[in-house]
Amino acid sequence: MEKALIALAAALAIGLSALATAWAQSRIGSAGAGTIAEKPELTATVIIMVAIPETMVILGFVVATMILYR
Amino acid sequence: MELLQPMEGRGYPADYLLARLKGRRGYLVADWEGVLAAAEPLAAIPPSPYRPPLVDATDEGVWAGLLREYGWVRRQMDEGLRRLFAPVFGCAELRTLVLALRAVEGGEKERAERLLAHSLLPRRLLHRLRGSADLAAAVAAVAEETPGAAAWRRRLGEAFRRRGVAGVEETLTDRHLAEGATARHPEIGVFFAYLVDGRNIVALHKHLRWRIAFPLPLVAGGRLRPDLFRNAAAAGDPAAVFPLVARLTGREAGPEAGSVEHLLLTGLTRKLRRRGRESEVAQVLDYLWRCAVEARNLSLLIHGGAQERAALRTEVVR
Repeated sequence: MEKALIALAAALAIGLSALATAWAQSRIGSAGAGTIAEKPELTATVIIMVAIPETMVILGFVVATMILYR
Repeated sequence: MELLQPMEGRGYPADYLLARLKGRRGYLVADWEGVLAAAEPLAAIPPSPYRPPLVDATDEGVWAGLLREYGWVRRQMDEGLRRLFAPVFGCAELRTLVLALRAVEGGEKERAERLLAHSLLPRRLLHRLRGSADLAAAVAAVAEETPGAAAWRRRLGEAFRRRGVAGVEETLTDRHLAEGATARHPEIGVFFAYLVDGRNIVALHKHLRWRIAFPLPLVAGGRLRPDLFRNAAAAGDPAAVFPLVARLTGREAGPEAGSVEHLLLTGLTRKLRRRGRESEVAQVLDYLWRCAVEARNLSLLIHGGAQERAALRTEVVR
């Protein structure tokens, strides 16, 4: 039972952060595409902006690993 | 009243559209004071890749530019936003329709053709307008192609017989505004309610200034109570409209502040700019309105080239 709960906690940690990252990147990505269409000189900034939410899923992955291998 | 042709393609997400509008907004004229202070106001308009060149510009060219921009914005919208903004685009198309009817009335077939070139009106209606032999046939096409029961067609026909194109314009506009004011989205509903109130205030002002005897025609859907209009009408003084203007715009208003129409347009511009910071729909609405205001101001500059600069300054909306 305890093992199942640990696995569920790890799954939630990575799953929820992945969903949040996906949602944030979808919005930032479409706004970024619009920005690049109007001002191509902002391409580098937009790529950085799209990459920032990745930190959420990376942190989720770290937390999930810590839960599983504590 | 659906006055638009269906659009092909599914458009893009709202975030994409908003980002593009933010970029394009930077090309709209912001410093009208600077333009009016220049020796040649039209030459002082900063260039924009999205606006046709203003050298030898005409009223018609400016309007076509606005329609092109509206067409572009509509193509970028997703299905939901297209449905939501249909009454707003319909407003611009109503003006195109009326200008085309006037061109048909004046026997200017080529001008009517140019006006309809960038129109978003339904293709069937465009086809029938282009093929209309005379004004009566064109008005009949409008009556038949706009949604509505037989009573609506009779009403439009009656308005045409009594007052010509002006009657058709008034009937179409009143219906469009009243329907727009019932829009479910609060931003669109509030926008149309303001237009209805503004139209009623302008009608009341004309009523009082020219001492017209027939009852005041009020369009339904405004936020100002009808008894305020009736009380102002009973006062018999054209200045009685200014408290209504102040109530609508939320700013002090008096004859010294400018013409009633100018005060109303400036009030709406400020309101939309403020609301545009709060929601996505309001942001799109603000952009569309800014484009319309810019087109109006450019037309004023084109027509008012020889006018006193002070007169232009009181009419340009910013």
